Amino acid sequence: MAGNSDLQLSRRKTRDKSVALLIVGFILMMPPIVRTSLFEGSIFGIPYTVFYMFTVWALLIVGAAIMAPRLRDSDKSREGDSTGQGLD
Amino acid sequence: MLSVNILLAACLAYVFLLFTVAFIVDRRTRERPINWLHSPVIYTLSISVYCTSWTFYGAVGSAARNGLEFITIYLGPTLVFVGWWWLLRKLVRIGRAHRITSIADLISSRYGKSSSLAVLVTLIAVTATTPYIALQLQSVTRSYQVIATGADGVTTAFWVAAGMALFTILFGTRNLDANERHHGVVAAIALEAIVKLLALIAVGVYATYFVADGFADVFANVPNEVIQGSGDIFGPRWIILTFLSATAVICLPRQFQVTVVENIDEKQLATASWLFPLYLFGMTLFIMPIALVGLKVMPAGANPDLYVLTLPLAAERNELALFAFLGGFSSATSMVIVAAIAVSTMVSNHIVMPIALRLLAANQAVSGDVRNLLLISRRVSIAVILGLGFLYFYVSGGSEALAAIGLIAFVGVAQFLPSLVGGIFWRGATRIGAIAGLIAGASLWAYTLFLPSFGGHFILSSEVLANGPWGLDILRPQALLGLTGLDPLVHAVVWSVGINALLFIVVSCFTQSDVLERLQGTLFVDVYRSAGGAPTTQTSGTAETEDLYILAQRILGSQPARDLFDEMALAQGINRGLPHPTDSVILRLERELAGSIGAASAHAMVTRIAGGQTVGMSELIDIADETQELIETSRQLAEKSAALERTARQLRVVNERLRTLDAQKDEFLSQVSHELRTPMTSVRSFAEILIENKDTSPETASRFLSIIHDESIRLTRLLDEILDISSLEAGRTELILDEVETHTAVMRAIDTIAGITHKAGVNVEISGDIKGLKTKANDDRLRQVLINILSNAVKYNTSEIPNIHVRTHSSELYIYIDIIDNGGGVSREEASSVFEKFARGSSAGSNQGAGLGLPISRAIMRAMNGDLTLEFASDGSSFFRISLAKI
Repeated sequence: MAGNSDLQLSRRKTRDKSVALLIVGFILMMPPIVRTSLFEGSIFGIPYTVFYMFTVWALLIVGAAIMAPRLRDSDKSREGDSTGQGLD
Repeated sequence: MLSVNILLAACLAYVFLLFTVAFIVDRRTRERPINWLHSPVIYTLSISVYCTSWTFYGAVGSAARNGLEFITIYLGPTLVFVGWWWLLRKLVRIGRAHRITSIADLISSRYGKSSSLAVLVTLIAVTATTPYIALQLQSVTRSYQVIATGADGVTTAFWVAAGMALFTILFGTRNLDANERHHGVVAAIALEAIVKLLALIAVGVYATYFVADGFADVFANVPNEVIQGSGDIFGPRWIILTFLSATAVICLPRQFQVTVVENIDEKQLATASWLFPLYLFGMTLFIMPIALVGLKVMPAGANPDLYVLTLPLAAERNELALFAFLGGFSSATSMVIVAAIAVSTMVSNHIVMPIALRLLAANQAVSGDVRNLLLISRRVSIAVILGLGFLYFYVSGGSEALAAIGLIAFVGVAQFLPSLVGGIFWRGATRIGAIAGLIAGASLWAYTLFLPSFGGHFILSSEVLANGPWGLDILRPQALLGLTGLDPLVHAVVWSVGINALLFIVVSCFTQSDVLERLQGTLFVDVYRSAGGAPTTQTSGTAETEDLYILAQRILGSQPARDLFDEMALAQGINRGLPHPTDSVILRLERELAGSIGAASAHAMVTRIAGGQTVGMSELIDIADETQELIETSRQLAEKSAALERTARQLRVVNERLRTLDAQKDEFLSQVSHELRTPMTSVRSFAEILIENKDTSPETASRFLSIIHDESIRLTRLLDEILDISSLEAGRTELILDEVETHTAVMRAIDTIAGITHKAGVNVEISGDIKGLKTKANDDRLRQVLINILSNAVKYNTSEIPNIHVRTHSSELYIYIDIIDNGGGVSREEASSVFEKFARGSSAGSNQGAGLGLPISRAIMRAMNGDLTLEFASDGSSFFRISLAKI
């Protein structure tokens, strides 16, 4: 059963990572952290604020693209999972 | 300048292309499923109906006015899709499991298939969608007017609306397919999504690299205020806008339609989770450059909302302008088509059909084809919704800022969020709570945002806006309860969504949900747990299959209904004829119908025919969630452990008895061997003496031989006694019982031992009168017992003047013979052991017998239905009592 529990553990990890990605994305794009992008200056001629927003956004998309197939596969064999527990 | 004719020709050609695509795909999917249509890319492209002409034209205008703020509208959906695993996946799973047809259907279904909730949600959706459709009409009209200067806005808008209504009716109501999927429409929408993306990127590339000289040039010398907007860009408005857009991508009827209803395979979501944000990224990448270049290049009075179109036009890039126009046209039409389908489904399922069905039910004679009625009602609904949109456009005359209307709609549909999310994650959410939240939220939305957006021309006058109704300052729509200093949008969201969520939670906590509601709630919240979401519910009543069949024919059409019923009949093992109206048949039918007319209506219709109560006992048990299962399990556990404890206790008792018996057996064996050993030893030693000493005198030899003889007799007697007692105790000895006159028996026994008593000088005294009383006994054995007891009384009597008193008396059932002696008697401590084998009284001297007399006597008495007991007189002395059953 060791293989099975390893599998479950890795699925749990995958889900944890996807939550972490979401939270990090949220924090980086919401005040107060997003205010750190307010200083003047530019990178490749693009104002820092604009550059910051689009970079964070792009990284979020890349992260989601990496996570998506793993999350999808983690659903394949196991229908019931912790998210189905409800909030009673 | 781009010629109007070319524009019109291009438009018509494009529309023709859309019709063709939709038509071909629709026709092909009827024959067999088209594989590429199931691709997650198509799914993602259809979700991009989120980007309406508001994005296409309005976002540039927003960027020109407020800088980077426009990006929030795309951040929200990005976060929702990146977190697809936690919310969207559940929505899609529920949508597929319960054949959800719209967001109104989902909410009403969750709260016990409540039709009042369905109507409420539908009304809010219509109210929020109408201005949004008007916005699309306006943007198409505006962009058309840019090229065809002097064209009448109203006429243009009318024809646009009519054309879209035609398309939607043609492809949106072709079939009443289960699950409300529209493959043709989805294909057309996907095509439009590509066109609008490419058009926007084309204009963006043109603005960045042809008008300006790359990104650096675009941003060169742009003051910070232009990028960050005036005021604090990352303030409450930033958060609220992100929240609103995140909510909208879930709650907008059209988004719900493409994301949940049109979803074919749950795995599509995984791809959409990054592909859709990527699409949004692509859409927004060039918005800032277009806005900035527009601000630099275009004359001061130009409308930033139309930069996408006017920028290429100004430079005479007609093909690009045409492409841009088609992009804008695409984004507007796709939104209108999907929104019209989504909202018309709600209107027809939750408002028109229930009324029509009620009328039909009242007038049984008019048993029209419900299927046709449904199609007509849906087509009329589409026309009405587009008509309303046109009317709104006509009345409002087209307000200036496009984005404002979009945000108003966003706040409107955000009212669904508490009931929706609460409903699928919180089992305790109730229908009353949802209704309370929705009504309060929608009212506050109308009061603080929607009505004020008319600028004092509709219901709320500018006087009311400025000073509050009846001059009550505290009720000012945009500063409710004196909450000033907030952006009107933030103000409205805080009040409407805040109160909505608060009421939803609080009222839910204080109200009870009925049985069906609890059942649905459990099924929705635990959708991953129930395999395939198959609910185990439904009507327990006396449904007539024929009625159900007629109902199915009316709604699904005759052939699909026949197929369905044949299939269900076959599943029941019936080759010809209709299936039995079991719960599963009714359930299946209800789900099939729900795919066409929504859960609430399907439920209402089926239960009306099936009759009886909606939820029976077995369903109540199903609702019993883990708590009840746990209670049951722990009850069984408790029962089991109690039983185990009982068994253990019994085992302990039995074990104790066995141990005692084992010890007694060991003791018995050692006693027996001891008793046998003593005579054997003397026999052996005398025999040895006789063998070894040949010169023993004949006298001595004969004395020895007589000892050997005596001991042998004693041994034999002992063995006889042992055999006797064991056979008596095992019940192997069958005593032959005859009628015995008790008194005679007693007297004979006393006579028998007269020799011993005389020798020992014991005086025997007899009292009582039992003459003539008879018992059933073995005469010899009874005498044996009597002699045994009497001789014991003589033998163990240590008194100076020994005396034995034989007292006889009788009760109703028994004859008693008490043998009382004045010897030492038996102490209470010894009382329990006198009947044990080999036990001798403490007052007995040595060599007085094997100690088997009493046990044997008792065994004999018991074998004759009597008893031998040791009794204690009131003065503490003991005596033996022989009881005999009287006859």
